[in-house]
Amino acid sequence: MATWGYLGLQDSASPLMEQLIFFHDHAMVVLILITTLVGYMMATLFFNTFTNRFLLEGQTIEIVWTVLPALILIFIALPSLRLLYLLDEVNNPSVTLKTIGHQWYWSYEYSDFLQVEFDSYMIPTNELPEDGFRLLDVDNRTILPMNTQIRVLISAADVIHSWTVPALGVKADAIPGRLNQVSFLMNRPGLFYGQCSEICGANHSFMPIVIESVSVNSFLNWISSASEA
Amino acid sequence: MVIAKPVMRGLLTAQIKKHIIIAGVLSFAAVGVWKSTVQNPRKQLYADFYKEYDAMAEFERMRGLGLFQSCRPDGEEE
Repeated sequence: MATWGYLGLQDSASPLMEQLIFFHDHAMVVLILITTLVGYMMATLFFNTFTNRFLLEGQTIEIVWTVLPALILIFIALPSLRLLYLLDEVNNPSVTLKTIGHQWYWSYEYSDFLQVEFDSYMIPTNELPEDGFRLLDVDNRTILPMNTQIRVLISAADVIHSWTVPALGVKADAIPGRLNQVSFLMNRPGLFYGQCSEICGANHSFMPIVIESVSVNSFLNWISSASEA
Repeated sequence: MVIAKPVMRGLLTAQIKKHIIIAGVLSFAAVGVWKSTVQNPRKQLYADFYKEYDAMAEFERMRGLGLFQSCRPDGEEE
């Protein structure tokens, strides 16, 4: 999860997020190259005392600064397209989770085998335990198995919300009357946090998401006991 | 006394050429710094982390610490 002073992307908990982080580092190479180049050229402007009153055209340099950016864009586009197609690959999810955004909480349904439904409200600050995370912890966490392909179907009951977990590299709008699908796999156990990412009213900042990544056996035990309850 | 004729033309062009070369060198140096201090170490960190990562052992460790809602530590009363 993000802590104070966090500038970069959160550590990944999913192979796809790992690839997104590496792509971001790759894109930064290009950005740093261009920023340094342009920044230095701008700095030299302060110290320039020469002019060329008869400068009309420079065909060579025009060709250079057209072709070079095109090559740079190809350098960015190729890994980007590879990742884009990787994110859209067809896989066979073992678990399907339905999540519906409401004002101002998320509700979850597991209806693969046993029907389990619950609402997930943020824990108010005045009820937060000593070791709780302010504005992030919820009363009922979303329990999911690790190392398992998961499909999440996202929708909303009232206004548009957005379901996201940065550590897993997933974000999709929750739109009333529409089902959006995201797919992910968590490769390590733990707690992964997210927050509603589409303005939805007064408590938009107070409807977080907490995914609890557990072993497959623990997940099965939990879902059996939850369906009996 | 005869002195060499000073360069009278092409001063801006010569300056631009010099600065473009310096800018290019600086840019690639900055990229080198980024690659060596951030990009490559990060890839290595991830590779090292997952090389001998035991997800089940980590899960049991976290469960023992009472971090999970769905599965409490052994011996804890419901």
